[in-house]
Amino acid sequence: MKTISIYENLVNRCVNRDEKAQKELYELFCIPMYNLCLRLAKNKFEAEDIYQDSFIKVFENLKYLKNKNMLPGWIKKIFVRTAIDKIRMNKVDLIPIENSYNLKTESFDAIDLLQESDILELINSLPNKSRTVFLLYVVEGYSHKEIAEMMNINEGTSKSQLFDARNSLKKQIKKMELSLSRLEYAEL
Amino acid sequence: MKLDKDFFDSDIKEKLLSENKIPDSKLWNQINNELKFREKKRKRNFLFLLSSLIIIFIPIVLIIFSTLDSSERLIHKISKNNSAKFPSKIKTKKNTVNTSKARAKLKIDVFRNNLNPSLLKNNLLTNNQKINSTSTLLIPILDKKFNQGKFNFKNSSVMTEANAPVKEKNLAKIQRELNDSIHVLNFLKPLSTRLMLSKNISQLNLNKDSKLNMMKKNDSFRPVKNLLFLSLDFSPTYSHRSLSNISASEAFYKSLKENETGIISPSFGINIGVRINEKYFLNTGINKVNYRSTYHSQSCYVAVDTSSNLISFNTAFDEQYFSDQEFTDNIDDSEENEFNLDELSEDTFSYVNKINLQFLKFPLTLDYGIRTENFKISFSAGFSAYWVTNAFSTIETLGFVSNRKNLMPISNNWLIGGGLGLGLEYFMTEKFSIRSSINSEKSFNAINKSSQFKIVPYWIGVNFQIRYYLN
Repeated sequence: MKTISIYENLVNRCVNRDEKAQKELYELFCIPMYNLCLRLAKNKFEAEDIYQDSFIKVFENLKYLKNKNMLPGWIKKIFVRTAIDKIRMNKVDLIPIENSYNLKTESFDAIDLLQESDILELINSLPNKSRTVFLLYVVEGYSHKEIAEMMNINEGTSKSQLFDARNSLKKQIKKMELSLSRLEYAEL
Repeated sequence: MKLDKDFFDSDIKEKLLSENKIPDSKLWNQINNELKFREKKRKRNFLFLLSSLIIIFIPIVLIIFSTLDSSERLIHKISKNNSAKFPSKIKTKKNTVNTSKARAKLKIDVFRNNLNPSLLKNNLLTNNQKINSTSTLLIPILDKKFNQGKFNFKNSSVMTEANAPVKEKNLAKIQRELNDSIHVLNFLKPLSTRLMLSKNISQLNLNKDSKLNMMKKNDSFRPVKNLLFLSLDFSPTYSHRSLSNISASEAFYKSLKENETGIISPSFGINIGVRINEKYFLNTGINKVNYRSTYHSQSCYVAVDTSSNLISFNTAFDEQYFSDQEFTDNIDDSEENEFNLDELSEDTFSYVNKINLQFLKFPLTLDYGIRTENFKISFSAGFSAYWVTNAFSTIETLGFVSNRKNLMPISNNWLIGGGLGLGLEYFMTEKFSIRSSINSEKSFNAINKSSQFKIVPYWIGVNFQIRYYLN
């Protein structure tokens, strides 16, 4: 109950263009949303772009939010949708998966030894659509139905994209495990 | 197996959520500045829209009220003519006029029928049409009088020496009678009609030795049959374009020293004007319009993102990403390549940013014009909708040339704008005219609303037209 009233008060103040309230709301969500942008975008520039655009959209559209209790989910959805739009607009489909296999050797020890940036690098090497589906499903916890709605695709497409992404990542990690074991063998 | 589906997903999730990065504080400043800028812009747009509406509605209100003028009073007075209050005799300088006879002469019944009261009430007749209708009443009266004087008003155009004295005598008589009639009409008609009658008399005096039937030929004495009037326009427009001020509060923007140059390029269109009344036209049509600008700046931020093998070019108005292969392909070999990908992580360079946007413009403008015999001065104001058909942007910096189509961060394919113009039209014939005007137009919204730096096009230009009028 307390949380609801905090959000209500905060949102109402933001709608009335209270700068202090806007800062409070920003500080409340800036870290999770920034990290969400970093995960969804392909690079830092794009992430910061999405981050700024999304926060502006949040402040501009707060007056339309009816159920204040839904604020965190509503904000997250705005960020995800903005990211999807941005990724679709930029259409920078990079290097094919095989070519991007240039992880730093010191981080090798299968999945446990991979750093966050290495995993992100692996995920970023996936094609745009399957990469976004994978991140939204596995990391952000959205259902296939929600993903399909947000990305304007079929539920079946979402499932197959996830399957492809998972397989592709597994292959890459297996390759890394293999090279790691060879490295260990050579050291012995 | 470690790579089991559930473990795999949860491991990845755990890894990705394990580290939390904190956003740079400058990001909040930028968001805050953008919000303040938008708020200011909203207020400014509202004021601009309000003033535009006032500019458009004032003439419309004037038109409505000018058609109302004294038409209802006129009808009222005509109906009063049948009452006892109307004076039976009016004294003029020379005669005492029997008003009932004068009324009969003026065929008030015809006049009443010509000016259909329901039309007047519905404001479908303009002042001029009312005057013209009055003239149609007067012409047969004049005709009759001329016939009485043995002078055929309809067919005879030139007086001969032989018949001149008789005709002059008759004319003097006619003029006297008309003066008396006008005196009666003063009770019946508004000022505009009286002026018209005076004009008829003065023309009789002026033209007694020449063409007496000119009244019939003169357009102003003929009733206007077409309430609407169409014109076809051809308009090659030469305009200067520039970018509007962006977020002025943005410190980074302030620090930029863009040297912007507008480029003159032709625009073409076909427009149609619908006549509202003698002075007003409503114009619309389709036009192809360009927007081109060149910027020289010291602030192109080039950075290499090693995690994704992307090279980013970030200028004030444009942001382009290239893969390393694409980047290499775009380097101009004729110049020294100053980029060394291995060494370069991020740096700032001078650059030239060229923007070329193409629109289809659909204007809706109201023209107010005052016409002399051959010239017409007109003032126009209105709105336009612009549809973006193409967008090119180029970044040129130190041996690197990019040329991208539809890569501008365009979020709005439709823009709405407003404009003002002042023109001079020369009528070569009644149907053909040439017109030149000075115009200024500005879009109300930005082409790239989601971008930090907004491009809001505006045009200042000279416009040439050839018009063909359909009667």
